[in-house]
Amino acid sequence: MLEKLNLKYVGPAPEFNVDFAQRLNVFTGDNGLGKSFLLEVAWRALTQTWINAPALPQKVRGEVPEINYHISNYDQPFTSKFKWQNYQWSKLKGNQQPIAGLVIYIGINQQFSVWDPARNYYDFAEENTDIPPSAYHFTSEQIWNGLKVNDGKSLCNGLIDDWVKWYDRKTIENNFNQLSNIIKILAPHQEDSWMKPGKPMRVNVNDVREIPTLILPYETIPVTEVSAGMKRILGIAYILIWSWLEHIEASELKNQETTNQIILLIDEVELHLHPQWQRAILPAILEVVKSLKEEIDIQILATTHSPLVLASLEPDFDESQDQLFLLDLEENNVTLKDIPFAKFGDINRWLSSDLFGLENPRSRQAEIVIKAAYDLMNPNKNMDNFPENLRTKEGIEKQFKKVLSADDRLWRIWEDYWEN
Amino acid sequence: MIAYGEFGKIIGRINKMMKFELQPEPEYFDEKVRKKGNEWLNKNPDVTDTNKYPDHWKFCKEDLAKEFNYLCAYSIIRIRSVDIDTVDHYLSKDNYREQTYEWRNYRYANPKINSRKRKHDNKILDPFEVEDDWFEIQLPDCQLIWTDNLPEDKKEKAELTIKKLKLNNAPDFLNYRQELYYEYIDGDISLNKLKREAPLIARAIIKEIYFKGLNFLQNRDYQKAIDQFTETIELDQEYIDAYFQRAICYYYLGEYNQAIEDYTKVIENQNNNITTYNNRGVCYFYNNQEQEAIKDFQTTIKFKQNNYLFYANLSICLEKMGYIKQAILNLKQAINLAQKNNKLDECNYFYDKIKKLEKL
Repeated sequence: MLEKLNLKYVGPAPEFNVDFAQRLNVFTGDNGLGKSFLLEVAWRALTQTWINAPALPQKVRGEVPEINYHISNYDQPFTSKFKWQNYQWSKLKGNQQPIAGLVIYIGINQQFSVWDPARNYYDFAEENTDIPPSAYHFTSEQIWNGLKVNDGKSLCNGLIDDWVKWYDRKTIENNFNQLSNIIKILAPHQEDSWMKPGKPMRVNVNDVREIPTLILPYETIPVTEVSAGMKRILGIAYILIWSWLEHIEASELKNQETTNQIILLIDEVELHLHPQWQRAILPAILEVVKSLKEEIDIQILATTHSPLVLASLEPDFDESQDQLFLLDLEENNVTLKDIPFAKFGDINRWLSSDLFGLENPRSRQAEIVIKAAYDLMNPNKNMDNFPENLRTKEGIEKQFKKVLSADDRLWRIWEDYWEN
Repeated sequence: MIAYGEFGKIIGRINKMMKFELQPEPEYFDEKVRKKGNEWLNKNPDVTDTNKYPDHWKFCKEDLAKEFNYLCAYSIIRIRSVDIDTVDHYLSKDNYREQTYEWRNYRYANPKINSRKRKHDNKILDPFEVEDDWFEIQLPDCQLIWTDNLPEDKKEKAELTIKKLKLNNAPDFLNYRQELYYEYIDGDISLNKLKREAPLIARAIIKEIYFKGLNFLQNRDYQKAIDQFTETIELDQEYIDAYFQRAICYYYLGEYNQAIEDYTKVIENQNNNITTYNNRGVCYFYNNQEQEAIKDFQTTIKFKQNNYLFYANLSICLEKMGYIKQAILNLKQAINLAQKNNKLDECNYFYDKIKKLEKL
């Protein structure tokens, strides 16, 4: 588990500190303030590798950029320094490297990465001439069709092949059931109508493979044809189950216990998902991980722009192990704020909360007109900051017709106000 | 000449709704909250993450809710579920570590407000420093506005408080207030419910009725004005100004007994209100209760020795009772004071009066 992160001269500010919560860490904030960057640095701290390119530090004469971090069960903090000479971040050697647990990164564009303490840790490399990859990185294509290395060896068969294999062996192995179950949890459903995995079928004369299918209430379609939202759900389901199965396998080979820690880094949780599904995804992921192994500790670092995702946390949010963060711009400096979790109830209130900062969850034009209307009624305010046409009763009324719906309460308030 | 009623002007405080009274800390507080909390703070001087501070304040959440009548101290809207997160540290744990376990630093607050306050500390108005008549709800839009009674040097703070805590933001507080107000207008909920749920709205509604009465009074439509003031009093028996204004109406209608009754109610609540003593004295006089009238005028003079009117009023009573000498004495005193204030017309009137009395 990642406990603390301290960045010096790398990222959006000269110094940056994050105190992570044990279970859920949700990051919100405007675009471009470094939410995704935070996940990448967290990945670096947990795995000693980078998902994409290494983070480039800020060039400040005389200062050494640093990434400092605390991992649970280790007393001392760990440090990586940037060496300007060879343009690299320093690495911990051998068994100095900590083990935080099984780390899974779920990125945008169906990009996934996995770091398995049983497969990617250095000691495995030492005893084998075959040096394993420092981590598994999947593109959207590889997650479906398999991850192969140069000499023809397969690191992962991919969703299509594994799914078909598990389907064929469903009477002797539990994998297919587990997959179905995970999809059922992840994709919200009503009673019996959920996306059930169906019988694989051939779909293309030029592809000899059988393709898994999903049984939807209205039709059965091959997984290669489903919507982007469903693909995302299937991708997440697959990466979770694949990582876990391979981890069990590798742990057995190495004659050691499976890990008790899973750390998930999820960029833009709500990506491609219908509002119904956004409202379910994070609690569902928590549930899925708990279904993998009893007594497992899960830490999630997730970024989101969706009020639905936050609203979905209300029933289970626990301040002692969950934390909400806001990346904010204050006088040109990016700051990270802990936001106490409050129950806002409906989505509009989340949108107008500090986390999203919309004064009024309507169109921008409507927001200004409504503000002008209220300020005109308010004796404490003056109208200097509004455009000429919004400073009078008549001007505002003209705009009302464009921006207010027929049943908006403001019509009545406005009428009553001027009657007095 | 003798009638002296100051109408159309609001005086004094209306009623207690926004101002909160400090309550002493509960008996168990020192042992269960302060000592335990501070002990932990002393043992863990390095912990900076305030989320990790033990929440001993939960022991007093119920007493805190009572101190604030279950009203959020900032939004003045009732909070239904008393919980740990309704205990607000007015001075934040981050900046005022030593105040973390102090009863006097706790305010009862809607958790939303709590999360918006963050580390603004005393840049936000302290509910305990707010006076009753600084803020009100404006109808029908239900915006929270400050009144002319807000001291000039608090304006900036008031503005920041409303802005940061989003007290006038549509999606939550403003919408909710409007909902409640229109439910009341449409007859779906009672004023009593409104008093419990959002007392400032109830206060605004009552004030609106009272002001309608003032309008009638200024247009000299006394009967209609009385109806409005009576309604005001039915809704809020402590609305003292309504008794005062209703008494003025009764006076103009010649219904002195009722006027006296209302003035007496005002005096019971504001026993240093000179105008009211004077007005009641006038009513006693016309109601042929000279003894009582004299007592009231004497009281006015006791409070304020330099107002010629009170002496003049007293002299007329004395005259009616046949105490001519004393009447003249008081008139002379009235002339003295009127001269100082350049009230020459009044002086002449009093001179004429003295001449007439001396002939008796």
